[in-house]
Amino acid sequence: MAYSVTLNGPGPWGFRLQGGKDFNMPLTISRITPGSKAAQSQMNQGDLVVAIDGVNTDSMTHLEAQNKIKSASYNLSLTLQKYVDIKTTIISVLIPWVESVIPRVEFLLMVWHL
Amino acid sequence: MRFHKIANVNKALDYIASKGVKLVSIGAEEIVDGNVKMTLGMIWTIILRFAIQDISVEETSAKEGLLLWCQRKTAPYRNVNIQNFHLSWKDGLGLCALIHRHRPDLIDYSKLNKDDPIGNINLAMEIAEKHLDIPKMLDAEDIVNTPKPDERAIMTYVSCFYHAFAGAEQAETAANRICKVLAVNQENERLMEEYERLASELLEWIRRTIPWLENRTPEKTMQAMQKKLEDFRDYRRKHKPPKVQEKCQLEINFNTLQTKLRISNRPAFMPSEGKMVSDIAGAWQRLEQAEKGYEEWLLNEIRRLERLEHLAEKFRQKASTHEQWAYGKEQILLQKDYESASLTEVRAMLRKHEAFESDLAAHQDRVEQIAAIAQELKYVPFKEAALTVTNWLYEEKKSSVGRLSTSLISAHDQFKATLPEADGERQAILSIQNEVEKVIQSYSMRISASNPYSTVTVEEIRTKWEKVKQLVPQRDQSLQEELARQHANERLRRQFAAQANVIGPWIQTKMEEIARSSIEMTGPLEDQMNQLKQYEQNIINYKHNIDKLEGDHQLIQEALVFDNKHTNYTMEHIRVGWELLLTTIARTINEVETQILTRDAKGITQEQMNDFRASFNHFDRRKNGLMDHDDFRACLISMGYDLGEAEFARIMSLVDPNGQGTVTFQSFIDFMTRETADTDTAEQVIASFRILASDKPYILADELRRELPPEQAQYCIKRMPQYTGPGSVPGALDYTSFSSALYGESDL
Repeated sequence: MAYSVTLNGPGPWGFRLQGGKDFNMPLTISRITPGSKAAQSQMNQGDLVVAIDGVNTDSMTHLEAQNKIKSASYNLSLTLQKYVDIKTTIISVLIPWVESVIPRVEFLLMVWHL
Repeated sequence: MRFHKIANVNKALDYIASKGVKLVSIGAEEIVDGNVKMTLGMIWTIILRFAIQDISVEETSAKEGLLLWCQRKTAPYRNVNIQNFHLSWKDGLGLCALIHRHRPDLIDYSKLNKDDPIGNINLAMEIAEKHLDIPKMLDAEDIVNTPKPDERAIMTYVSCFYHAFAGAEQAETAANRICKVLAVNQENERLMEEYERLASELLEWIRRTIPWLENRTPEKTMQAMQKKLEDFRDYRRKHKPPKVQEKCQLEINFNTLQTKLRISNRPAFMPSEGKMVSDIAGAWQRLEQAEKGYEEWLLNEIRRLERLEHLAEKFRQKASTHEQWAYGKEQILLQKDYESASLTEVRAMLRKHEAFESDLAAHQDRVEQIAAIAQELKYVPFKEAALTVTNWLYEEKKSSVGRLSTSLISAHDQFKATLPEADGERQAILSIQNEVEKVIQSYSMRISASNPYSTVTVEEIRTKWEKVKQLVPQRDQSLQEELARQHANERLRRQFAAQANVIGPWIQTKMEEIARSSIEMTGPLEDQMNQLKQYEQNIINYKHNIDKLEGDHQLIQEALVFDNKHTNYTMEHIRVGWELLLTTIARTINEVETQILTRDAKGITQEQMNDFRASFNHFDRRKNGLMDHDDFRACLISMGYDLGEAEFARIMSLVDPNGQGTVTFQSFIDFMTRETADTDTAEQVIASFRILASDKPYILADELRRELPPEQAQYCIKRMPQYTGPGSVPGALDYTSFSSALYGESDL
């Protein structure tokens, strides 16, 4: 579930970047400042940063990624991957589907008895 | 040229005037001409404005802050009592104490005397000028001889000391903080590398060892199999225990590393692919599975080979006996001498033949036995048969340990009892032979030497009898030896059992003690640690018992004894229990260590807490648990934090986030804890660098080399990226992105 985002320059963009190869953790958006350019885009907290200005981030250390973002000529274009957690998936997808098949009361009773 | 100089001076004077300083009758020309009085006047005006008037603008907070700072710094000196900026400084000891407090190498305080105030003041000023870059602003005689010295002058002079020392202290604290952060980083990096290295070594060893344990190709001889058993024993005794320890160490290192990362505010450690804790646990499990199967297989094979050899031996013996007997018989039977024989001769031959037939019948049984053994030997490669045979033999041996010796011995004794009778018969045969010879001689008959009624000659009887006479004592001896061996085995069993029955429960008890210690302990962590260390020592001291048991076990296995009814503990039980005990104590100790690390990292000492309490109370004027901004600033100054506007504003936003204008005790404590405790964040590291960079947004390599130890300075210079923000100069290094990268977080 990858998507692209272009933030109009100039920076700062209003997001916090976390991770990198030297931390053995994927590059993620750990925070989005409310009201910032990042907040007004599709970006969400928890999304993975797949590429910066078209360059894949797989082998980048934190500092390299940071510098790449800072060196964006004016606009910043990122390729991100949506992060969906289990809870959201269950609530938004699974339960409605189950409910469409079994009436609500019956389903709740069944779950309760488990 | 002169008018250039005047232009320069005017520029400076304009600036001063723009800051609100009134320069009365001071002109650029007087300064350029070197008019001493004018120059001094200008300098004093500048001092008034920038050093003192700053204090007077926020007079309460700054003056009080400065006073408090002096009091704090001179508190250890009993003959100094600073209450104000005039009388308290008359004897000069205050100044000397301030110097000695920060730079004891510059002054020998113990040699000073209250009765020499002029000497004291002059000494202090001398040292301050030479080593601290503070010009002599006071007149010693003036101070001593005036009833109440000039407050302003003294305050100015003392504030120079403040700026010199507090500034240096701040820089030192900042440098220390940075060094600590870098040290933590380097330590963490080292631990991570070590983990990866140990993990790959261990996994490599496991990878090499499992095929050896899974190799089930049997050897052809007992010796070779016994050697394999010995190799396995070596493995269990010598090669595996250090690996068990390595695995335990790996776990411990991982836990400690994660704790350290957590308390130093870093992201958690993720080992590389294939080296995670779960991978190592999985590989270890596979190893132990292979081990279990291997020992069982070894013992079964040895028993099987033993039975084989035994059967083969039996076959050889019986077959050779039979061959000896059968030798030549076929020749005899093929003889057609009866065709030309007389009746008497034929009658004799018939008797002979009958004798032979009964002999043959006796041998038939034996031949059948030999055939049976051969059959067994032939089919032995088939596992099931072998297993049933070995199981049968095992059961036999098990149940007839005592019986074997006694039944064999009694059989042998019975045999011995028949010897006299046999001997009697032999004598009878000999006497008959003698008579036959006598008759032949007396009748001078031409008789063939051989007896037509029997194929057995006297010679044969004699040889065989000699043999029996030899073999009987031999058998006696081997039976006795076997009996002795069985007794020895029994002794070994008892010995092993006696020890195992003590060691097993001891291990059990120790495990329970350790478990209880971690559950029940309510005292301080250090006490818990001491007790666990004691247990550890006990365990180390007990090891020689395990070694002794291994020695006995080796003897038992070499004697091919595979059972022991005197104890439920096998060597494997004890080994596993021992390994578990070692692992458990190591893990438990590590848990307590982790708790101690966590506790110490987050805390401040009781002393520090008291200090902070005292400061807060002093500035809490209305005694309502709140400090207002100015008081807070004074408080900070008194603790050596002389902050610029921007920095102070930042701290205010931290301690008074809602902008209420007051600082509560709790937020004050939180702030102080963050500042003084060991935890560090990206912001603090950035602030520390800012101090060393004198508030610039970038830092220069020279500044790094000046403030940090060479190794750390080099580390920073190598890793910091170029600063590309506003006001950049060549060689400017970006400490902000460097610091945030340390924590894997940056705001963009």
